[in-house]
Amino acid sequence: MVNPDEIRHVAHLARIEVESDKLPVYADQIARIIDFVSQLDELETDDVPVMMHAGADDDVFREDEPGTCLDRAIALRGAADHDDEQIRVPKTL
Amino acid sequence: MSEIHDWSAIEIAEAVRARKLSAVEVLRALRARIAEHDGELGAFLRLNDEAEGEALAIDAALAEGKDPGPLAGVPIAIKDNIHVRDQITSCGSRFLEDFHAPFEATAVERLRAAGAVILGKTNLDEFAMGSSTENSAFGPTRNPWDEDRAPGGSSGGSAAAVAARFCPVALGSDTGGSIRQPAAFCGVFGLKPTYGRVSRYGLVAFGSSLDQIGPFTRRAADAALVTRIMSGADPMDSTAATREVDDYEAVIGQGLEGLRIGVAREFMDDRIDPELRSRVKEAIDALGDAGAEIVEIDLPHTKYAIPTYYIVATSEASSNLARYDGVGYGLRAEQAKDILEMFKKSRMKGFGDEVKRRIILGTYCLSAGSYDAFYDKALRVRTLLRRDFERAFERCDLVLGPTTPTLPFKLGEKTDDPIAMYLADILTASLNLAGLPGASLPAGFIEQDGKKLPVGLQVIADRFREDLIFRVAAALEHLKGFAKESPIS
Repeated sequence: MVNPDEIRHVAHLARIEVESDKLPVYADQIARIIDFVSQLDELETDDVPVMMHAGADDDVFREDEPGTCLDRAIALRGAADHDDEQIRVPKTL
Repeated sequence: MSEIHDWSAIEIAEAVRARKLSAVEVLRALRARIAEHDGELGAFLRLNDEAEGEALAIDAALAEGKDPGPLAGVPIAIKDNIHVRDQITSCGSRFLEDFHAPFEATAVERLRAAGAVILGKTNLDEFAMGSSTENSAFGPTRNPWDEDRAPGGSSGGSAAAVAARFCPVALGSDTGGSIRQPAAFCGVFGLKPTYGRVSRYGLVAFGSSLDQIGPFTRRAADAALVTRIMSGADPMDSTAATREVDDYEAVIGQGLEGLRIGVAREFMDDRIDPELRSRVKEAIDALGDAGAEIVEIDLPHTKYAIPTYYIVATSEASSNLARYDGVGYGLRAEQAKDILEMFKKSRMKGFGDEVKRRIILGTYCLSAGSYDAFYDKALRVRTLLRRDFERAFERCDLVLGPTTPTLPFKLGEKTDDPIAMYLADILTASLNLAGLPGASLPAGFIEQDGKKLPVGLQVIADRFREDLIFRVAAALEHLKGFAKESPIS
């Protein structure tokens, strides 16, 4: 049901490179997990609403007022490559 | 006369506030114990270099007549997926091994404001994904009761640190059982609060609709105090509940009269180790003898909790972990020809096997053609799991059962079989899906291979009823002595 080509495609969507020799390993493991979770099909759920979240039902609002945010120098210090103002990355186009 | 490492947080704070003992003396005593024993256990990834300065500041405040707060001088360990400002938050991952947190988690900030000293950062399964702490990129933590066994996970370092008496309190996070299962394996108290009770600001996200920060302690009263301090609304987390925080310490010692305890048949069936089950039953009977009414209840969808959890949690994780792209922070693969290759190679190098497996699984569940069959289906079953508990709480105040299906397993025993590892959370994951609070309480030991192995009793309450959990925990502590034995002399 889940083959190595499918894993390659999903890994691409997830932006993870998977070594060729690992593809069948992941395919086998993911297939077994998918088979395991498919026991949910035993349940009739068409009339059951979805539950996205376990939190409070009310939204929390606040005024949209400007405030202080993370200092640029601190924000940049984690980046592998940056100048004084911006993060540098390989070509994007 | 007991030694400092045996003291509770409340005892330490009282002594420090009364200036019978300095915060620096407390810190040095615990650091000496860590230096002696943590080489074998591996509970800590890093100790806080600033801790002595923090302890000195507490002592200086007291010398000036100021009160540092109810946690004055109490050393607290923090799971390494919770931010302590300017310190590394590795999440147990190569991806973040050099990442310094630019801000502080609200929970940590509140503990500090109450006088706590940050002792260090504890080991975990990478990005909190695991049930044994073996998925850490920096090596496993060992169970203090038997070093050949796992401490549970993902918060195994925090649980082991409290069990080994390196500190009276440690913080963990719980997405599907990551506080309660290691608490059970290490014989300490561990609480996952109601979803939204404690702010998640500064907790590195895994499954955002499931994650909660909670404490490990050896005393019910310590957990009540620490939970009260951490809880409450937070402008930095819109999911933090605005509901007023109860005075959890007030229920300690209240007794069990009038409490109705439900024992779920599905939590006590053949999947659970029979010896462990009988030890749990003894603990529940003791609570019955002490005044609680015991009733049998059903949670009919329990067997679907793990399949539901592994769809919901991995789907949320695949989205949350998209941020680790090598751009703004963390590991970046060198010499990529373009940005797409940089993303892919950085994530290949930075993530361990289990994290990659879960991201791929979550992406699969959310992808076109699979969304309805898996993600949407799981969200509907999530409703059924929640309804099970709603019906249960019409009949009882609390639901009790074992925390884990087995005693602590051996290191390496389940690492090659993801599903076997996932089943370690069979009794804990449904609470995260339903948003309920739950704790694991020490409920005695079973001897195996000449070693005493702890048993955990899980206590589940309705939303925002942590007070009932503390009430039962304090009663059981009074009856059974709780975590009074130490695995290390």
